[in-house]
Amino acid sequence: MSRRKVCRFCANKDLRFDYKDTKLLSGFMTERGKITPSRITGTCCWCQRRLSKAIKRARLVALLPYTTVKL
Amino acid sequence: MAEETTHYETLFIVHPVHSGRNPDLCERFRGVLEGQGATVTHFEEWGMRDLAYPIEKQGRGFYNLIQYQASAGASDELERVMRLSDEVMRCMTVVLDDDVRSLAPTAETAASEEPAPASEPAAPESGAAEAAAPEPAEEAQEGQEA
Repeated sequence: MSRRKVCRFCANKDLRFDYKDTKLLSGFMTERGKITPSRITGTCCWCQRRLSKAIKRARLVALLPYTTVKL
Repeated sequence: MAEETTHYETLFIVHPVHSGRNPDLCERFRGVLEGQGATVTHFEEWGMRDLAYPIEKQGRGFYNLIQYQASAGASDELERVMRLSDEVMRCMTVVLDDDVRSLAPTAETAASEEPAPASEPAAPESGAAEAAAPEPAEEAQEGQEA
Protein backbone atom coordinates (compact mmCIF):
# COMPACT_ATOMS: atom_id res chain seq x y z
CA MET A 1 0.00 0.00 0.00
CA SER A 2 1.25 3.45 -0.83
CA ARG A 3 1.59 6.13 1.85
CA ARG A 4 -1.21 8.66 2.09
CA LYS A 5 -0.26 11.71 0.05
CA VAL A 6 -0.37 15.11 1.74
CA CYS A 7 -0.67 18.47 0.05
CA ARG A 8 2.80 20.02 0.41
CA PHE A 9 1.41 23.54 0.41
CA CYS A 10 -1.06 22.80 3.19
CA ALA A 11 1.61 21.01 5.23
CA ASN A 12 4.11 23.83 4.89
CA LYS A 13 2.55 27.26 5.20
CA ASP A 14 5.82 28.96 4.23
CA LEU A 15 5.50 27.76 0.67
CA ARG A 16 4.14 30.41 -1.68
CA PHE A 17 2.66 30.08 -5.13
CA ASP A 18 5.18 32.50 -6.50
CA TYR A 19 5.86 32.29 -10.20
CA LYS A 20 9.45 33.46 -9.56
CA ASP A 21 10.19 30.39 -7.42
CA THR A 22 11.03 28.15 -10.34
CA LYS A 23 12.86 25.64 -8.19
CA LEU A 24 9.68 24.85 -6.28
CA LEU A 25 7.40 24.96 -9.31
CA SER A 26 9.59 22.73 -11.45
CA GLY A 27 9.14 20.02 -8.82
CA PHE A 28 5.49 19.92 -9.82
CA MET A 29 6.21 19.44 -13.49
CA THR A 30 7.05 16.36 -15.50
CA GLU A 31 10.23 15.90 -17.49
CA ARG A 32 8.31 17.06 -20.50
CA GLY A 33 7.28 20.27 -18.80
CA LYS A 34 3.68 19.29 -18.16
CA ILE A 35 2.00 20.18 -14.88
CA THR A 36 1.86 17.05 -12.73
CA PRO A 37 -1.73 16.06 -11.89
CA SER A 38 -2.79 16.49 -8.28
CA ARG A 39 -3.62 12.77 -8.10
CA ILE A 40 0.11 12.10 -8.49
CA THR A 41 1.48 14.82 -6.20
CA GLY A 42 -1.32 14.81 -3.66
CA THR A 43 -1.78 18.57 -3.91
CA CYS A 44 -5.25 19.59 -2.78
CA CYS A 45 -7.70 21.13 -5.21
CA TRP A 46 -7.35 24.69 -3.92
CA CYS A 47 -3.54 24.55 -3.98
CA GLN A 48 -3.42 22.83 -7.35
CA ARG A 49 -5.39 25.66 -8.96
CA ARG A 50 -3.03 28.28 -7.59
CA LEU A 51 0.00 26.15 -8.41
CA SER A 52 -1.05 25.75 -12.01
CA LYS A 53 -1.63 29.48 -12.25
CA ALA A 54 1.89 30.16 -10.93
CA ILE A 55 3.40 27.70 -13.40
CA LYS A 56 1.49 29.31 -16.26
CA ARG A 57 2.74 32.73 -15.22
CA ALA A 58 6.31 31.44 -15.07
CA ARG A 59 5.90 29.97 -18.55
CA LEU A 60 4.77 33.29 -19.96
CA VAL A 61 8.00 34.99 -18.96
CA ALA A 62 10.16 32.03 -20.04
CA LEU A 63 11.20 31.06 -16.53
CA LEU A 64 9.73 27.61 -17.13
CA PRO A 65 9.22 25.77 -20.41
CA TYR A 66 5.88 25.01 -22.07
CA THR A 67 7.51 21.84 -23.33
CA THR A 68 10.99 20.39 -23.32
CA VAL A 69 10.40 18.49 -26.53
CA LYS A 70 12.52 19.83 -29.36
CA LEU A 71 10.87 19.97 -32.73
CA MET B 1 -4.62 59.15 -0.85
CA ALA B 2 -8.09 59.56 -2.22
CA GLU B 3 -7.60 57.24 -5.18
CA GLU B 4 -7.44 53.54 -4.50
CA THR B 5 -4.04 52.04 -5.18
CA THR B 6 -2.81 48.49 -5.59
CA HIS B 7 0.62 46.86 -5.37
CA TYR B 8 1.77 45.60 -8.74
CA GLU B 9 4.79 43.79 -9.96
CA THR B 10 6.04 43.92 -13.52
CA LEU B 11 8.66 41.53 -14.82
CA PHE B 12 10.13 42.43 -18.18
CA ILE B 13 12.78 40.89 -20.39
CA VAL B 14 15.07 43.17 -22.36
CA HIS B 15 16.44 41.97 -25.69
CA PRO B 16 20.09 40.86 -25.20
CA VAL B 17 21.21 43.19 -28.00
CA HIS B 18 19.84 46.16 -26.03
CA SER B 19 20.97 44.98 -22.59
CA GLY B 20 23.65 47.70 -22.54
CA ARG B 21 20.87 50.29 -22.58
CA ASN B 22 19.10 48.63 -19.67
CA PRO B 23 19.74 51.44 -17.14
CA ASP B 24 18.28 54.00 -19.56
CA LEU B 25 15.24 51.81 -20.15
CA CYS B 26 14.62 51.29 -16.46
CA GLU B 27 14.90 55.00 -15.90
CA ARG B 28 12.37 55.55 -18.67
CA PHE B 29 9.88 53.07 -17.21
CA ARG B 30 10.38 54.56 -13.80
CA GLY B 31 9.55 57.94 -15.32
CA VAL B 32 6.40 56.52 -16.91
CA LEU B 33 5.25 55.17 -13.56
CA GLU B 34 5.99 58.34 -11.67
CA GLY B 35 4.26 60.33 -14.40
CA GLN B 36 1.17 58.25 -13.61
CA GLY B 37 1.46 59.01 -9.92
CA ALA B 38 2.83 55.61 -8.96
CA THR B 39 5.39 54.93 -6.23
CA VAL B 40 8.17 52.47 -7.07
CA THR B 41 8.69 50.35 -3.97
CA HIS B 42 11.27 47.91 -5.25
CA PHE B 43 13.48 47.45 -8.24
CA GLU B 44 15.54 44.40 -9.01
CA GLU B 45 17.90 43.60 -11.84
CA TRP B 46 18.19 39.87 -12.33
CA GLY B 47 20.64 40.24 -15.18
CA MET B 48 21.17 38.02 -18.18
CA ARG B 49 19.42 34.68 -17.91
CA ASP B 50 18.76 31.74 -20.13
CA LEU B 51 15.18 31.62 -21.39
CA ALA B 52 13.20 28.40 -21.02
CA TYR B 53 12.28 28.72 -24.69
CA PRO B 54 13.41 31.13 -27.39
CA ILE B 55 11.63 34.48 -27.64
CA GLU B 56 12.21 36.48 -30.81
CA LYS B 57 14.81 33.83 -31.72
CA GLN B 58 16.86 34.72 -28.67
CA GLY B 59 18.00 32.14 -26.16
CA ARG B 60 18.85 34.66 -23.46
CA GLY B 61 17.33 37.79 -22.04
CA PHE B 62 17.97 40.52 -19.50
CA TYR B 63 15.43 40.25 -16.68
CA ASN B 64 14.18 43.16 -14.59
CA LEU B 65 11.57 43.35 -11.88
CA ILE B 66 9.70 46.46 -10.74
CA GLN B 67 7.31 46.58 -7.83
CA TYR B 68 5.16 49.63 -7.40
CA GLN B 69 2.04 50.98 -5.84
CA ALA B 70 -0.31 52.55 -8.30
CA SER B 71 -3.85 53.02 -9.51
CA ALA B 72 -5.13 50.73 -12.25
CA GLY B 73 -4.28 53.11 -15.10
CA ALA B 74 -0.57 53.25 -14.33
CA SER B 75 0.13 49.56 -14.91
CA ASP B 76 -1.82 49.67 -18.16
CA GLU B 77 0.23 52.63 -19.32
CA LEU B 78 3.51 50.92 -18.35
CA GLU B 79 2.54 47.77 -20.24
CA ARG B 80 1.55 49.83 -23.26
CA VAL B 81 4.90 51.61 -23.31
CA MET B 82 6.76 48.32 -22.87
CA ARG B 83 4.89 46.62 -25.68
CA LEU B 84 5.65 49.52 -27.99
CA SER B 85 9.37 49.55 -27.23
CA ASP B 86 11.50 47.24 -29.37
CA GLU B 87 13.94 46.59 -26.54
CA VAL B 88 11.43 44.74 -24.34
CA MET B 89 10.84 41.18 -25.56
CA ARG B 90 8.26 40.18 -22.98
CA CYS B 91 6.56 41.75 -19.99
CA MET B 92 4.06 40.60 -17.41
CA THR B 93 2.25 42.51 -14.70
CA VAL B 94 0.72 40.75 -11.70
CA VAL B 95 -1.03 42.04 -8.61
CA LEU B 96 0.91 41.43 -5.41
CA ASP B 97 -1.02 39.32 -2.92
CA ASP B 98 -0.34 36.54 -0.44
CA ASP B 99 1.11 34.37 -3.20
CA VAL B 100 3.36 36.93 -4.80
CA ARG B 101 4.76 39.02 -1.98
CA SER B 102 6.46 42.37 -2.10
CA LEU B 103 10.18 42.38 -1.59
CA ALA B 104 12.16 44.54 0.81
CA PRO B 105 12.50 48.10 -0.47
CA THR B 106 15.26 50.77 -0.46
CA ALA B 107 18.48 48.94 0.56
CA GLU B 108 18.25 46.34 -2.19
CA THR B 109 16.93 48.91 -4.61
CA ALA B 110 20.18 50.84 -4.29
CA ALA B 111 22.34 47.72 -4.20
CA SER B 112 20.79 46.16 -7.27
CA GLU B 113 21.85 49.10 -9.42
CA GLU B 114 25.54 48.69 -8.67
CA PRO B 115 26.24 45.39 -10.44
CA ALA B 116 24.89 46.73 -13.73
CA PRO B 117 27.78 49.07 -14.64
CA ALA B 118 30.28 46.56 -13.25
CA SER B 119 29.29 44.06 -15.91
CA GLU B 120 30.14 46.60 -18.61
CA PRO B 121 33.79 46.71 -19.59
CA ALA B 122 34.06 50.50 -19.76
CA ALA B 123 35.84 51.91 -16.70
CA PRO B 124 34.68 55.56 -16.92
CA GLU B 125 31.13 54.34 -16.38
CA SER B 126 31.81 53.76 -12.69
CA GLY B 127 31.87 57.52 -12.06
CA ALA B 128 28.45 57.88 -13.67
CA ALA B 129 27.16 54.97 -11.64
CA GLU B 130 28.16 56.60 -8.39
CA ALA B 131 26.42 59.76 -9.45
CA ALA B 132 23.29 57.82 -10.36
CA ALA B 133 23.23 55.61 -7.28
CA PRO B 134 22.00 58.15 -4.71
CA GLU B 135 18.93 59.00 -6.79
CA PRO B 136 16.86 55.86 -6.08
CA ALA B 137 17.48 56.31 -2.38
CA GLU B 138 16.11 59.83 -2.53
CA GLU B 139 13.09 58.62 -4.45
CA ALA B 140 12.48 55.95 -1.87
CA GLN B 141 12.57 58.52 0.89
CA GLU B 142 10.09 60.64 -0.97
CA GLY B 143 7.87 57.59 -1.31
CA GLN B 144 7.96 56.97 2.43
CA GLU B 145 7.04 60.56 3.19
CA ALA B 146 4.12 60.41 0.78
